[in-house]
Amino acid sequence: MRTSFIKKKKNASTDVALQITSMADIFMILLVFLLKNYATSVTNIAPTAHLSLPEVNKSKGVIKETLKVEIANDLVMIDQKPALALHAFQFDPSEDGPGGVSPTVARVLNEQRKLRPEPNMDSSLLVMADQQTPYSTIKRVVASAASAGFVDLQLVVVQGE
Amino acid sequence: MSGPVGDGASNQDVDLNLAPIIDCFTVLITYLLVTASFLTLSSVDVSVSATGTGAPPPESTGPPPMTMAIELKAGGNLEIQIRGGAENKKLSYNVPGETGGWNMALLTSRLQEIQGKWPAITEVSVTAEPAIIYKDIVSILHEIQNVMPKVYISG
Repeated sequence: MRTSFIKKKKNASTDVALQITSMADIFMILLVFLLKNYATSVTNIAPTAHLSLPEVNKSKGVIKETLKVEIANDLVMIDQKPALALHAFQFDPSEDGPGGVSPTVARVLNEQRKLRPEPNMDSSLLVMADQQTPYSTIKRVVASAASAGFVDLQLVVVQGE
Repeated sequence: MSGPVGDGASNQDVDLNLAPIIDCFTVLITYLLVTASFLTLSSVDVSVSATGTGAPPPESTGPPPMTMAIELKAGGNLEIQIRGGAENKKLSYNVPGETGGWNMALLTSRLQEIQGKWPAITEVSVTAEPAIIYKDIVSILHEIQNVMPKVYISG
């Protein structure tokens, strides 16, 4: 039998072994890091409204979880629920109550106060306002909060470097 | 991945199926990456000063307590007012702004001078003109708290 000088191509192996052991290692490390970050971050304090918080360098205040008020361009949210609509940070003229208090905000804060575990002891309020909010709006919210008994304010800021 | 299982007499190779584990990890990691917040939040703690409605304070025979109030004005200017004391002082200091904003260094030095001169002043009340934005107010509050921790904001 003549030996064929034409070399026949051997069928190339089509099996490709996917090395997923190293991928599992990377995923495990990434997962541990993210779980650790998730556990230590104050996730309930993340702002829900479309607002940008002011940045302060070397701020030392520690956030204590309490009733939250958010002031954005177009609304005021209390405990993550819309309480009052604003127009470019301005209150409606009908919200001009005695002593600069907004009746709606004061009413909602009073209702929320009654739902707190210790309504007579808790006077702390977490305020998250957009950095462009004018003082007139802040003043009205602060006055409303004071009328509802919230006199200790935590102004939430982003900690700069 | 595989490994022998069993004693030497009857080794069996067991294939560990990593595909479902990788699927779970992929979903979990995607969720955590989407929900993770990489911003560090902090707070500037202030109290609300009394707005004056209610029963008048009882008459006191001694001198009125010394109080300090800081007002933020347009153009980066600050006005520090000191009232009260044995001689019922009414003093006013201006902290002019510098180009582009507030003069934090001058404000800090003025507060330190006031604190050195009148140690009885331990609280500051802060107000602002209506158009001053929140970002500036918080910066000033933070700067004041570096010298005098007890700060009130007028409601």
